[in-house]
Amino acid sequence: MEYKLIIDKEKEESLILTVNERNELVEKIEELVGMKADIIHAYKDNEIFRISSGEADCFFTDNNKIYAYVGKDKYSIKLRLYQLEEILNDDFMKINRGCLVNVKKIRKFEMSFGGTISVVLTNGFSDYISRRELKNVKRRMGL
Amino acid sequence: MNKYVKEFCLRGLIFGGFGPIIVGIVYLCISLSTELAVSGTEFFSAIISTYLLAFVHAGASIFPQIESWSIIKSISVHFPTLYIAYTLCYLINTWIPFDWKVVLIYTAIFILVYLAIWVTVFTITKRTTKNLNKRI
Repeated sequence: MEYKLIIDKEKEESLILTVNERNELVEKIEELVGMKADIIHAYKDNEIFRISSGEADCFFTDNNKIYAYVGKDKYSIKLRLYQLEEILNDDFMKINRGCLVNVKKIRKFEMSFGGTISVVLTNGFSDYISRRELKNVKRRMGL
Repeated sequence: MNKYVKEFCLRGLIFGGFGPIIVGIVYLCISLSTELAVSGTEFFSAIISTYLLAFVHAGASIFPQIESWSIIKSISVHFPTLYIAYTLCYLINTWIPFDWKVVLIYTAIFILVYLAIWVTVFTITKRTTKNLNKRI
């Protein structure tokens, strides 16, 4: 594969790929370009969707895979959670080691008898706040 | 492996080590204040059993977080798990004798302490939850 890098301060920045077929490298490049533009590539039923991070209700891990909920729709995400943490804006907060929720999509906080508090989102998704993250969550919510 | 079983084991492995540390500190404090003579076998038994106790105690903290379980189900699994683990540990190490009267008193104290802890935790959590909900 031919590779050219042209650094020219006069021209508008662009990235053009010519490939014979979609492959892993193309997907990775798309992810990287998307990260720059606050666009995340989400996968569902062999289709790729471009979602802006603000649309998502939450990002979470399940069996070592990352998923996002946009409303009731569940998408697979190819980025790792720590990469998402870096690119997502302040609307998102970490509630446990495997879940980032959109603060604007929180419907309520709910308590359990065991001393844990869960976040319930407008789409019905709920996950617990770990003790480690509770301090950050309280700070984020202004307590 | 079920994610809750995995989490049970993970929490157990993380916090299991605290059992022997605590028992070591307790034995040290007792030996400083009284003439405590603990044999190697007794000390070994205490280390192993408190490790398992701490493992189960930490692991059992996942029960209240199982979304599909009601509070009643959580308590009815959480309480016996802790009670059995603690009672076996106390009996094995002869911290309480095999006497039904003593076990009965121990059980009453265990229930009272269990209730007191949960009432405290419940009150604090309820207040925090209420405050968080006000901020939405």
